[in-house]
Amino acid sequence: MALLKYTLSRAVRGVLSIFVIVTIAFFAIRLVPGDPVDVWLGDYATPELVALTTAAWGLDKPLHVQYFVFLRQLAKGDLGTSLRANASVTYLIGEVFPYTVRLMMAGALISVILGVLIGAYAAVRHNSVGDVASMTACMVFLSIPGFVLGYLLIFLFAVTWRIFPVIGGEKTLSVAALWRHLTLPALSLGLGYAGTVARMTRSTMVEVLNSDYIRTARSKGLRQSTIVFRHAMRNTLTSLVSMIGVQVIVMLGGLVVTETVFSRPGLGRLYFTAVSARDYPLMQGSILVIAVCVVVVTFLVDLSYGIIDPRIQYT
Amino acid sequence: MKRAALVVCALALLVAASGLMGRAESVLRVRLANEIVNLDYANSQSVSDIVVLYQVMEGLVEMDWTSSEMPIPIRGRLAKSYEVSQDGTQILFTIHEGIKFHRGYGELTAEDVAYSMKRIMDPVVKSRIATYYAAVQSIDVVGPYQVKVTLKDSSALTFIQALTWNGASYITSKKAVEELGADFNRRPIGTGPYQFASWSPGTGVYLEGFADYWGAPEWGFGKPGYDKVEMLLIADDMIALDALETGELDVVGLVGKGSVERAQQMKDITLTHAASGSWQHLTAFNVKRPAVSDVRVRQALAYGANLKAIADRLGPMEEYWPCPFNPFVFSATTEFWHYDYNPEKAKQLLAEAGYPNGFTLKLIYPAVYLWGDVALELGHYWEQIGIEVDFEVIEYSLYATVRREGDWDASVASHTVFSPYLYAELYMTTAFRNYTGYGTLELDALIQEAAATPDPAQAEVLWREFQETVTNDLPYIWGPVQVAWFAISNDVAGVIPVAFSTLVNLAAAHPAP
Repeated sequence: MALLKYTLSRAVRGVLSIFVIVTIAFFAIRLVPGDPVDVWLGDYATPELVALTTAAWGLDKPLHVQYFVFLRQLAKGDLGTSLRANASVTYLIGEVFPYTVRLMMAGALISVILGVLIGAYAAVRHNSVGDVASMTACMVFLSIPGFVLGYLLIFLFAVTWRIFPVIGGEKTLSVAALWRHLTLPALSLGLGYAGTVARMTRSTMVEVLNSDYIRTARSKGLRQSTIVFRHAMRNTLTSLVSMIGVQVIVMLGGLVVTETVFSRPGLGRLYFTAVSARDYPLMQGSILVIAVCVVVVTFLVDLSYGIIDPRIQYT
Repeated sequence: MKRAALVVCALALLVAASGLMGRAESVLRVRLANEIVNLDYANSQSVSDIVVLYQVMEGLVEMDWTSSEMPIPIRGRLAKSYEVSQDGTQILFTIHEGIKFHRGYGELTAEDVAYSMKRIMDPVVKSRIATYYAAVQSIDVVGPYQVKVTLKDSSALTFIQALTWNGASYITSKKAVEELGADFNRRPIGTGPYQFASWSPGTGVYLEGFADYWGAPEWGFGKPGYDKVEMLLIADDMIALDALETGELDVVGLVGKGSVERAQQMKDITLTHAASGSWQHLTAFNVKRPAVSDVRVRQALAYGANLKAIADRLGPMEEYWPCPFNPFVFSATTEFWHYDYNPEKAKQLLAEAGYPNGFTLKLIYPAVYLWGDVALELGHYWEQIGIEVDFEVIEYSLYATVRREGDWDASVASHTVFSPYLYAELYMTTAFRNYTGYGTLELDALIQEAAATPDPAQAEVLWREFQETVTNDLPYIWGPVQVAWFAISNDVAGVIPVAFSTLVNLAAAHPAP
């Protein structure tokens, strides 16, 4: 019952947050210098064409009227029509969103699995050569800019060894092909974040491994793997999950680079195109989807605390 | 006996199965450098729109990119002939018979021709190329395959030149536009060798060979050489070349600095380029500003920049071409350019103009294409003659607005058209696109006269006079032009490079024998 109440309250807060975000976004993007009509027409912006296009796009109406039109459309589930592509924003986002979800999930999975394994290894081998080497490797991945890592992966795995394709965008229903196209972009996105997860895991776990209950477990003769993964890991998970939640949100920002390097469709590139063209409806739509993603991820992270640590109560 | 019968049956099944399976699909993979924006021929915007539409649509007239003549000859494509009246006020287009539209939209008729042309002029369509049709008075169907265009003046030659570019004479099916409505900008219907199949945002555009393609016998295209064409969106030149190397792409148009040099190192590809470039860098001077309003200062800036060295330094993609028109344009000539690099003369002219110690020049440019490189090169030379250059990078989206507002002395941009008049418009006092503020009523009259001269020989004399005048007055420094280069897999033959960015003509492309 407490969980249901908590979920409902979070859902209401989430909807309110999204409403505030899209409202701020609606007005903020119109404060950015540059007019979509001017961008669209460029050198061909004769006064007649400017007037015709402004009216056709509804930009001649007062701002508050435009805002209410936007809200009315939103209530009907309509995100409007992209000014630049003259196509439904829902359609454009719908076409690229599955690519973004796949990339985000694969990137997060890689960063978590690799990060946790490396972090746990470094903690167990605290102050050893292995610890220093693995933490140095993490620092390297953290420091390499995303586009450099992307190009490096392409050079090695696509051009030199021909294991994966250069082009990360796939239009296929074959699961095998999906994975082939996804692997390098996901590695490029996930490896940098794996470094952060590893460092975080290591520092938390070093502390846990020095605690009394671990010493007790050791004295009872439990195996190292049981101690690390069953006892120590559980206590590091709470802080790890909150950090992973934040990282997934931060990853959204890294999408543009990864999608561009790997010629992959996605929300990051779509948003970048929208900003360049001052395509207000597409910008609003993209911001809304990103806001929903952030709210959902935050909610899932909060929800997972109770599962990881039964002492946490939902109120 | 039984075994023999079984073997015969097995063989028969095998033959039947292979017949059912048919031959493997042939697919040509072509690089798109940027995202599709609008596939309505009247409103195409990005280079990729132009690249896609070039394979799907056909124009009444077209430039013959297989020719080595300069300026490039214009030929009819859908038009079997076009007759210009003696006074240059009327053009009678006669189209080929029996040409089919894609997706079962029927046969191409004069009705479709008139409709497609009038559509560009329709204010509701808000076409960016409506100005190309400014001189049109009426478009009339005079027979099942004949359309007469009547002009307000005798500018038939100019109008035909304008029709060769930007889809200005692309013909679509009236029925298709009416049926598809708002979707027409994402489902173009034409008569070209490849028909549009789908657009996947962020991924690319997919075309299918059009089995009923008429083959343009005069051009010798024949049936499409591939079952499918996949045009894949790859923004980065180097990644596109990687994909060519691994066999994921077959045709890569190159746009970035250093890409030609990289392609030169690659094996199993053919590196080819158009005869020259049409994408011409223009450095405009804002003649309303104190210093650059003086023609001696502008001349000093021309003498002070080594344009040949700049073109060389920018690599094989850039070609020295100091002319108000690009090399393919009717009457284009560099013979009036007399500002060979001479820094001493530049300093002398600056002193004569009252700037012996130079002045501060605000040079604006967006960091796109090679515009920034051109701006930095020019600025570097101008600093050597005592000019203090204030470089300012402007976001590309805001560039047209900033240039119109006029707070700059010099600005770098590029321009491609294939009609002298559409170039000359930039210099007219009445033109909205005249950012420089330069122009005189006499020059306006000369441009109008040249545009309305139907006789090519006389028109050439007038256009040469125009080029001489503006080369003396220098509201712009012209060039270099960007040559279109293509890296093509050796498995592919018949690709025709077009002298604009990544544009290729795939009508004759086929698997190499």
